[in-house]
Amino acid sequence: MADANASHNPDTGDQEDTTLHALLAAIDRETAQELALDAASLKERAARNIRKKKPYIAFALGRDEMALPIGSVREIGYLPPVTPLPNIPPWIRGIVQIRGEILSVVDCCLLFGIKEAGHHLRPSYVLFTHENLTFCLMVDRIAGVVNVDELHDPLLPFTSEYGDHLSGVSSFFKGAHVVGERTVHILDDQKLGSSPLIVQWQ
Amino acid sequence: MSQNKNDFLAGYIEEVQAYVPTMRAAIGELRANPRQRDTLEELHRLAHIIRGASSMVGIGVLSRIAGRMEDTLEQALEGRRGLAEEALDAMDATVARIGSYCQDLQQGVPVDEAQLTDLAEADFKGLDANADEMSLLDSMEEPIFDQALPFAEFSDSESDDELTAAFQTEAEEHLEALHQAIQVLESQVTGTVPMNGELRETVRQIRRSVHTIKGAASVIGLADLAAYAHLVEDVLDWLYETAGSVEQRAVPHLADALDLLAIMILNPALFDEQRAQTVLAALQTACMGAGTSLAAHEDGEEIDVLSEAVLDALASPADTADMLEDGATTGAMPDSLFSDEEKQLLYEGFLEEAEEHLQQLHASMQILTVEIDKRVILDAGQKEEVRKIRRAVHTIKGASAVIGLRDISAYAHGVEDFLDWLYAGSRHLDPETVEILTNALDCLGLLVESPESVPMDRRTDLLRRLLAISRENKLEEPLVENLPDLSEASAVADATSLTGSADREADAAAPLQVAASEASRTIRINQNQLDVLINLANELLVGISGFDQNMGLFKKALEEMELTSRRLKDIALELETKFEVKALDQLSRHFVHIDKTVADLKASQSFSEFDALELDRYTQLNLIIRSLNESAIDVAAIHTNLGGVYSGIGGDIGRQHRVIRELQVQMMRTRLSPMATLSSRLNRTLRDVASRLGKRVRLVIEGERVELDRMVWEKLADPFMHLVRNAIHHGIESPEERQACGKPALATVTLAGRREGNHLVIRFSDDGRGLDFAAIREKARRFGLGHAVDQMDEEQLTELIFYPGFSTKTISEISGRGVGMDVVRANIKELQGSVTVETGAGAGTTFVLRVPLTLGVVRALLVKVGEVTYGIALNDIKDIHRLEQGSISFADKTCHIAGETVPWHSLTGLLGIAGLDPDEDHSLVLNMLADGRTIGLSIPQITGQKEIVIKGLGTHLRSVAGVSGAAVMGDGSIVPVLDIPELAQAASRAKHRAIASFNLEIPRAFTVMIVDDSISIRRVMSRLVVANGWAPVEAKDGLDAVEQLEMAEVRPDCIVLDIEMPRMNGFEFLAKLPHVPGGKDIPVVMLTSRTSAKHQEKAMQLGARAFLNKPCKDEEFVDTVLRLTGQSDTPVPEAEGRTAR
Repeated sequence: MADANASHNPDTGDQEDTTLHALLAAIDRETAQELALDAASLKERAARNIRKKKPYIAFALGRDEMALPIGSVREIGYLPPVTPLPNIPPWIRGIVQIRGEILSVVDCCLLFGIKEAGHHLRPSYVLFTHENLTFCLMVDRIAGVVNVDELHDPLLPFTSEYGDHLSGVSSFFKGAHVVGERTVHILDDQKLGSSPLIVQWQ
Repeated sequence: MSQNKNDFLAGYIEEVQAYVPTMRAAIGELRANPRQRDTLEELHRLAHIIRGASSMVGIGVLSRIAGRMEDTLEQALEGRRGLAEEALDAMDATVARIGSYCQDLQQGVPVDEAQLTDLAEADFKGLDANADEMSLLDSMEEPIFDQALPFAEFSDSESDDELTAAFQTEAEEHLEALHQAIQVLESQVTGTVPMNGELRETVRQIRRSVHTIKGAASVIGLADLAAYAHLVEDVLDWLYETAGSVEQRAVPHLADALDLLAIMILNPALFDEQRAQTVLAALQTACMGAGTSLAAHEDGEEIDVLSEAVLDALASPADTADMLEDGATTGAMPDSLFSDEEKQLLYEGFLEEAEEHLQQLHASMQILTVEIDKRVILDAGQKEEVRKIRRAVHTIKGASAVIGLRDISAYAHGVEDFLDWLYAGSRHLDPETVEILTNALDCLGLLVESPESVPMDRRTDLLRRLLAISRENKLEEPLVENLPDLSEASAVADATSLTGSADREADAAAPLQVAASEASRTIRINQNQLDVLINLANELLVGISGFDQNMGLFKKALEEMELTSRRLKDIALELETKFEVKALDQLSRHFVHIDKTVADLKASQSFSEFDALELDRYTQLNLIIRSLNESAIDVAAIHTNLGGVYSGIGGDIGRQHRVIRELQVQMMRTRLSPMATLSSRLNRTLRDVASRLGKRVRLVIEGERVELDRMVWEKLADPFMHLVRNAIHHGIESPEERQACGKPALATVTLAGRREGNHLVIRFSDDGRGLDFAAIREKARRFGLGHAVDQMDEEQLTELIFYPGFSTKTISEISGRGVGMDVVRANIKELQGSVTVETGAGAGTTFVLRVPLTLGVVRALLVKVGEVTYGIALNDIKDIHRLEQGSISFADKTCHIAGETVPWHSLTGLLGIAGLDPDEDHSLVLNMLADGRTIGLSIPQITGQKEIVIKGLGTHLRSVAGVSGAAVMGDGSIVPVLDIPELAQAASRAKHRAIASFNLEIPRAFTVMIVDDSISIRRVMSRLVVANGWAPVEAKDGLDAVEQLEMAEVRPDCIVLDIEMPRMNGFEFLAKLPHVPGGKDIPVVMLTSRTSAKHQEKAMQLGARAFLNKPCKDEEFVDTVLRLTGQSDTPVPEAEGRTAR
């Protein structure tokens, strides 16, 4: 700052220049501590916001709501017509073509043993990707994004009160996120992606 | 007029003055270089312009002077000689005169024209006098551009001027380089100088240039030149590779030799052999005499030394490394320069390159083996083969040294030494030598392919034997002259003109030329890049198929439009005939006359004396009818136009289709290579295995030129190796056994490739003992098949040999592990091909491999089962039959096709779809090959055949039994491609485990039929239906709806019905609905603007289930439909129904 001043006012004498320097330095010294504190608290606040709120893609399966970390979901949309294949378990519905790519479709309801919902709906898909494995999860409806602050609001472990029909899924659960009436079961993408049930078809 | 003349006089003078400096410059240039043809031409052009222009404007004197100048220049140009100093002086003076004349003219100074002309005349006359002299002078030094002619005459008549000229140009560049290199040498070599890196590099440059000249000369058939250059190169080779130092006195000799080379190139007539020999001899003495203490005056001796060195090097790898490290200073690059990855890349490139050379080796050795059946004197053709072999070995040596494969380069070097001797030093060749050489080259091939597999002592042993041969022979043939090759080459050259061997020479030269020209036009492309291109071409092909579908829709629309336009016409006609005439008569009273203008009005009034029949009077109705008529005609015209456009687009698509198909074919061709690429490897394996087992076998390859994708050959290489090993090990008997059976001791393995339609059929047969079914049966019993074996026929037993781990032999190094045939089948299958076996006891075994010619794109039969279309590769299908009733025996699962009873499957059964049993009458049956036997497959319906690109099933489903992949069609739908044999196996397995029935039925979409005569109502309702995830079906009136229902095309879950409709109204439809098959159970919702209770009651009475009024609320409609169809118990869909909007 002082330099800039000096260059702008070439007439200014050397003496004045040095006094200005000294003055500015003194001010800086005094405020430095406060500023550092401020910065630290700002950083902390920012970090808290970023780190703690993790976004999840929530979707409906029958009457239940589940969610996957946003990092493991490549895209979502309405499921195009599924072409069935022989010799595959019922929970793999078949294959679909999404943007020229052929992908398999996993019916979450059947995989998780949840009772099948109404069939006349246009189902949606969640394109799940884990390492080099990619497939479509067929879901009833995309419910949106849920932000979960795990530190502040820890996930609840699975209990049978959520319903016996979910016991088949419990191995994939990371925990439940409860906001008022709404319960979102957070799925563990690692467990889902490396589940022997899924991987055996690779 | 005179003003005019002055105008262009001034313009003309300016123009001429503009030329003067250019001409001056040109003359100046010519002084420096009198032969510069384009300058000469430029000058001639300018002189010509001035002459012509001067005579046009009427300045005779300038015209004459310029004319003289032009003449001289013309002579110079025609005679192709330069301009003498005097001529240039004269021209300079002339140009100066022209300049000053113009200036004078401009300033109005009078000029003595006659004097000017005389002066010019005198100048040029003097020139003409000594013109003869001058031309004589010029001819002393042959101008370069004239050389093509005599040279062409000198060289073989077949080498044309063009080639020679190109050679000359090329050679001149090299001569220039040689000249500079020699100068460098002269400056560097003072006294005896040790060979350092810099010097070596210079020698290398010289050698390269000489080598190139040699190669080029031999290509265009200058045998003398090539032979001479070769000898020079030999010396340079030695200098580069072996010499430890260079002496000063050697350099002038080298310079002499190279000068001689230049003379030979530029003016072959001046070349005398005597001198060449002296120079070469001097050079050899000068260089080698000093360099080697062995005082070798003979070429052969020198080679000996080299070979010894190599042997030593081989014996102690460390030395080899050192030696090559030395060499590496210039030629090879140090290892540290490359990362491992780069080395890998280099190595791959080397393998690829080496493979080509090994093929060349194989081809040449083949020729030598055939031609040399006793000790013969090498003729030119054989020498050429030896040369080719040497070149290939040399290249392998160089390449391997560069990438640091020292074993290979050291060994190749040893072999090359022998070849050098064979080419340059030996005159005879006997079968034993050829055999040893074959072995040595085989060894080289093995070394390149798998360096670990060749033991060091085998290599050393082979090299020793080669060395022994070259030594032995040398004793017998003391070399009389230093240049055996040169004289021989010229002798051969003489002979060729006289004897029949000329043909062979020509034959040998022709492919060489072809090869050379092909090589020059070859671009190396990364295979991945090519694959990407091919994939794109495939996608294009599939993409354009998508057009077909839309064209179908277009056509349908056109047909509909034609109907509509015809109906419109009919209506208009009807109106016209029925109403217009009447209107004239009666309606005119009710309608207001049209009074467009007052005049019209007046006219109509004034025509009142006419009767209505006597004069037409137009009412509004008349006009509407008219315009309706016109519109009808317009619509018909538009229809015709659209028809034209349709066929135009159709034609375009057809053309495009052809072009893309061609593109695809050509793209595929870029990857093709002939079967010959495998033959050298096969031969090696065969000889190797045969010699180890003590059997005598020869390999006959038919159809070496058959081409297939390179990748396919790579995939086939392994199966071929296995088949060769198996044939020799299992099939072919020992020589004694064979003789006992009355077969020739030398067994034959035949590999015959042939194109059959879209397939390449490779028959791999041996003449051995055939499959031993007893042994197979015995083995199978122990293999765990138990008593089932006894019921197996030969066909099934044959099938067993492809079973993993199955072998009748005990395990040995060669075969018997039971892996081979498994691999054969797997690899062929991967290529979408098939293997079948034909065998006869004592007569041998034939494996028939069928491989599709094109990869990637597969023609598939599209079969519709229920809602899903499946693809079945056409390759697998032999033929398609429509079977009569009773041909299929359901009980024992067989059917009777074309006189044969074959196992029968039903596709629906295989797919596990229940309730879709094939129609027993007229069932379509595919006759297809599965696991070597024919089976029948019933299919419900064929929807066509298409070219498809098979893709994988995604990253999740790597392998699904019975599905080899899936293809995306033009419209984005997916067609799974079925692997029927696998499917049949999977189905039978599933039966054993009592697991069946997959969820193969697509859940049918919930369908709502909208029956309304208003197109906008139909559209709005359709949108609403789609938004709820249902499928809409539209009908434009009751009759249409009934027709659609009767066609059984649709089976709606709900019908939305209007009341007032043409043809058949809502009430009529309701009455009719219960009589339509299945119509009774479909709930009907009335949607109408008639709100009265009367209508409602009538509808309910007729069977409607709900009554809605137009316009209705969306929610109301959705709720009603859900309620009626019993779907309302699921709350989510309702929510979805709302949110979806």
